[in-house]
Amino acid sequence: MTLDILMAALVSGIVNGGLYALLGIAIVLIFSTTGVANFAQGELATFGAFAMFMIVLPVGLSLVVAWMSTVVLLGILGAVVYFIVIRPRPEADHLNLAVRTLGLSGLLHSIDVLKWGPNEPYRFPSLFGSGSLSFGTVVLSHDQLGTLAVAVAMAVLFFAFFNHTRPGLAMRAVAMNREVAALQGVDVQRTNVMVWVVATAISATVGLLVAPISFLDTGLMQPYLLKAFTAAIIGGMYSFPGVVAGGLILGIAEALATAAASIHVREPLAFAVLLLVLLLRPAGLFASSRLQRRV
Amino acid sequence: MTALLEVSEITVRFGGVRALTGVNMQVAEGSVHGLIGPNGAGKTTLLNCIGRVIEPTEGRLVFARDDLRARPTHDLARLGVARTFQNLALMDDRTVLDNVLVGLRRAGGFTLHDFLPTRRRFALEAEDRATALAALAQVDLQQFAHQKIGKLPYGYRKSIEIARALCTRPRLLMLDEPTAGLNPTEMDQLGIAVRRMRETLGLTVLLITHHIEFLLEVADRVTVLDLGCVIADGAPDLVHTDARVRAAYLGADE
Amino acid sequence: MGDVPFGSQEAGHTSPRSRVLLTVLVLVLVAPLFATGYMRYVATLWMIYAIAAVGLQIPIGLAAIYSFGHSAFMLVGAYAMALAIMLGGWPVPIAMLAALVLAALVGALLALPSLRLSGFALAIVTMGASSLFFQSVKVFKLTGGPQGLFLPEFAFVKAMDGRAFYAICAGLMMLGLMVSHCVESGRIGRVLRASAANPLMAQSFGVHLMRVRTLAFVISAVYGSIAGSLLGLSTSYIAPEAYAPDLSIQVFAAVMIGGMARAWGPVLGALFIVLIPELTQSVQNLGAIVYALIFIAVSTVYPGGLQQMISGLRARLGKRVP
Repeated sequence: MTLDILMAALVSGIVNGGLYALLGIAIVLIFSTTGVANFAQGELATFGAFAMFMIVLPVGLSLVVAWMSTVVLLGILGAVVYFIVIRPRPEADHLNLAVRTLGLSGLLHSIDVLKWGPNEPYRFPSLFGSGSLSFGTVVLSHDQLGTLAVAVAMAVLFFAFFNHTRPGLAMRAVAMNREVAALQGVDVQRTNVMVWVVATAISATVGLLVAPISFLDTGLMQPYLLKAFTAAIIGGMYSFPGVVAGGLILGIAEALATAAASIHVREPLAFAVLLLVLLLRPAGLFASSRLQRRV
Repeated sequence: MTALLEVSEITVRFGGVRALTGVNMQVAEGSVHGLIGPNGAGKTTLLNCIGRVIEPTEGRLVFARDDLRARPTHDLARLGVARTFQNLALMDDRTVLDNVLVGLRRAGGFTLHDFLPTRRRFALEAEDRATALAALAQVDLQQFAHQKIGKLPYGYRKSIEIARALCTRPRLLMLDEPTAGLNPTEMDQLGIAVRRMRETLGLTVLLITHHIEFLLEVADRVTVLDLGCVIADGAPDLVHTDARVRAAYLGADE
Repeated sequence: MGDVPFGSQEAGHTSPRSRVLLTVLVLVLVAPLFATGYMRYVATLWMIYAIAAVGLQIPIGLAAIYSFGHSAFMLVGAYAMALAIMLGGWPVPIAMLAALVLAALVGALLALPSLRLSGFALAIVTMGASSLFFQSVKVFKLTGGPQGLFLPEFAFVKAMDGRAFYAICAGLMMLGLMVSHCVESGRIGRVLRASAANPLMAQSFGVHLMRVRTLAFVISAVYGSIAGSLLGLSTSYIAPEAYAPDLSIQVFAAVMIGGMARAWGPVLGALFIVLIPELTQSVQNLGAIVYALIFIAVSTVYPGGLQQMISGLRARLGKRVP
């Protein structure tokens, strides 16, 4: 493997890893606050991409405005999902809640297929234009740069929101201990809604970033779901820095293995990483012994 | 008298907390041995060590000359050690009979008869049911065999756990707070049942209890724990006579 | 209300209620022999899904193991059988048996991490396994790549306008139901339930957790493999898409919608899964939407599935009788 190939693999790995991480952030947000393993996270992202393609774009807005509108729209959808699917029968156990999100995932997928045909590819407009930049021997396409930039910006925005605003504080309180947060006066219900709004908005962003790179079709985000969960698991399911690290580790490992061996190694590798982490460090790679929470 | 169970220098440390320190205890075969002490003394912890649910930090456990610490949890039933649980480990949505049947073990693994409706299967199932009903009869609860656990009073549920333990045909029966939540009549009946079990089934019984009167009625010997250490060991009436025991219980409510 | 399980606990004696149920079941199963070829095809599909679902009910309903890897077993059942037939020239039953053994091995492998993983983690791993198998068969030329494998057309599949094949599937389903009932009502069921309810207690009573969990997976793998083999035979074509991870969710839905408590629940659930696309045929893919909506509704509001709804009805009707 020459240095060129190595660098190209690293770049591709970081971009993919960033996307896994971003989707994983949405997963961790929902999991740590509402306790739901949201298996519909990927389909929500796909739905977002289709929504922009079919609903928002034809209206004639500029690309950037269309982007933002879609993200907002999906945020609202997140709230709707929370009220219809998650809130009823709150005494159900977590596995049941996860099963409901499986149903939601199926529903979104079948709606997509109904409207836009199974596996029919559509060209999705890129926000960043074609073309590329060279840094020495390393070539980065505008798409890769733009994707990374937006992903980083989104993550930074989210962390700022989460760590330095009142609603973010409420989310952190609920994530730490729901009962105590309620006693402290936090409106847990409202926080849950906000969590779902933010997480779905983030997922939509991921979908909008992925769609231009490959073609947009109904299977767009399917490969990403398990990988995002793997990233979240590497981070221990409750840690945001952890899921970011997890995503990057997974993305880079995948890219390096693909470059070193072949593309066929990708899926087995992702599965192997998942299995290894769960077996060897089930509380995540970065868990301190103090916060030993089993997944 | 041969010691069926020998506990030697058992120490259990959880992080910084010492749950048990250097505990020694000998349970003679065929005896009813009481294990008492104030709350938090480590009685259940000791039981959990013997029951191979917790790993002690130090010490030896010998049952019928078998090194228990070399055994995994699921070997105990086969060796002849059975127990009940302080917080009741029953399946509330199943019937009494279903719960008691859990205690039944058969030599060898699963066979064809577990998958197909053969005549032998029906014979085995009938045998199992008979054993379970007999165990329930030991605690006078056979009439409730087909009732769901969730509907029964607490005292009955404790006794159902005993019946389940009896199904393993144990040599040593360990009872964790079998008298908690029982009224005086029920306690008397339990005392009679325990003594009867010892006589007819040749059982050795190790029981944890807070009720001193029950202990005096039933036990041949008692070990007293306080804060993880043995403070007294001997005839049951030492609970009255031993100054250390009285001091440990001062202020305790029982 | 004392629930008498399907088939009473008294040796060799079935309660009147289960005799009625059995008669109804037999009638329902015989009916497709007299229907149109197309209806028979749907009924055959129903039997196949029922076999898969009855098998999945064992880890899920008894051992509370959420296994989303069922499609992997069905995939192995189909592909391994096909390869044995096409490459080894083996007769169909032997090929199916070989596939079954392989699937059982996969099941045993999946059970290995089950002691160290929480329910959620194990669910994710089984999902990963489904995905892994699916992606892998699409990659290798041996398994036909993305196109899949074409099986020779067998006489017994088409014989008597599909009646013979339907009878085979229905017969296997009944056998599977009987075995499942024996497992559920006997020692294995007890041991699985205890291990799910309280692993420490179960171990204290001699239950070897690893062994019983492996057993649960292996049993479900056997059922899944048979269903997968039959599915492949029914169309003479093994398409990877037919064994995608989605299939795991579908079979899970059948178990959940039908209700997990009784042996016949998954059979009812499988009927549901198969009928919905048929009934909503007018609008393409509307069936998938309806099915997804029902899935959400059942998991959200009626977790006990159709069984819960039915016993709820019976309870309300029964209240009038003292």
